[in-house]
Amino acid sequence: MHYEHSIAKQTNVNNNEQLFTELVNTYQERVYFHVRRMVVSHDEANDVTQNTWIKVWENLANFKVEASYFTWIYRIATNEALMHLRKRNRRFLNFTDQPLEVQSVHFQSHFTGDEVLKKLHLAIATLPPKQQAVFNMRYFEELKFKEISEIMNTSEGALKASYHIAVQKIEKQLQL
Amino acid sequence: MKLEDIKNKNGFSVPEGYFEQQKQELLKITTNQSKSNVRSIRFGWTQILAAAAILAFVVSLGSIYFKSTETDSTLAEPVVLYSDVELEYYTESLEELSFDLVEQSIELYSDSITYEEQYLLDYASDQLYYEL
Repeated sequence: MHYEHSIAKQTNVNNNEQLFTELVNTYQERVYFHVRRMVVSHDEANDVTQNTWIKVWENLANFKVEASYFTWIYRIATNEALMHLRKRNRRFLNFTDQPLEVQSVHFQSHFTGDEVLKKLHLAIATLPPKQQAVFNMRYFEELKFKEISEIMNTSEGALKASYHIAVQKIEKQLQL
Repeated sequence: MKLEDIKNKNGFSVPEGYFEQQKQELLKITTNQSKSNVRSIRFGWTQILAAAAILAFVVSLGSIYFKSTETDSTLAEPVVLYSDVELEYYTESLEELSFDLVEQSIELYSDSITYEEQYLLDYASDQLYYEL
């Protein structure tokens, strides 16, 4: 899959409004599902993606063209989602043994997956948030470790190790 | 079954027409930008005016406080210093009262008036004369 927004296309865009429209058209759904995999709930994903796009718009003028729009937008989205998860865990008291992420999987609306997929999401929900993000980007979106390292601002080696641990944990939970 | 077998499934769905609706809302951000700039400038002026009003209020409160405490301390001084002395308060001004107090204390605590005490009394007397 080719995710890069070509530089030629970027420079042809006359102003920020056109560019923003272009970026929304290209990445809206991908950003939404990236965030959705992390926060699980549709309503929360909606809030986080809106905040992401507002930040994209506010900082578009300062963006350096040499960098990739895709990586930049994904980095904003990932940070927003991680921040949202931190806030959510601080805000809500959890009286059960299960993490809030796992409970979100149980009670989410707009989920059409089968039982196996639900089990997979439950297993992912038990991972630490950053590990979840790495796993989702590599497993579902098939991003290269180099791209993930630019998004997460972490070394490729650390990401590979993190992904390997995540896979082991998930396979153990799914008893594969 | 392997983990790879589940890979291409996406169990998450969205309400119908969600992305189109979200896109319209997102694109409104760009058109509202100029309006929000005006709003932020107005908000800036409001902040300045509010800060000025609060500052004026604090200054006026402070001046009232200092005025009241200044008067209190002047009045309280002789009473605190000479609480063990029986005074006759038929003097009309603070200057007169202070003069009386000096005079009485000299009379109370010394057998005879020294040169310095006499000078002090004369000075106080002069001051009282000019004040009146």
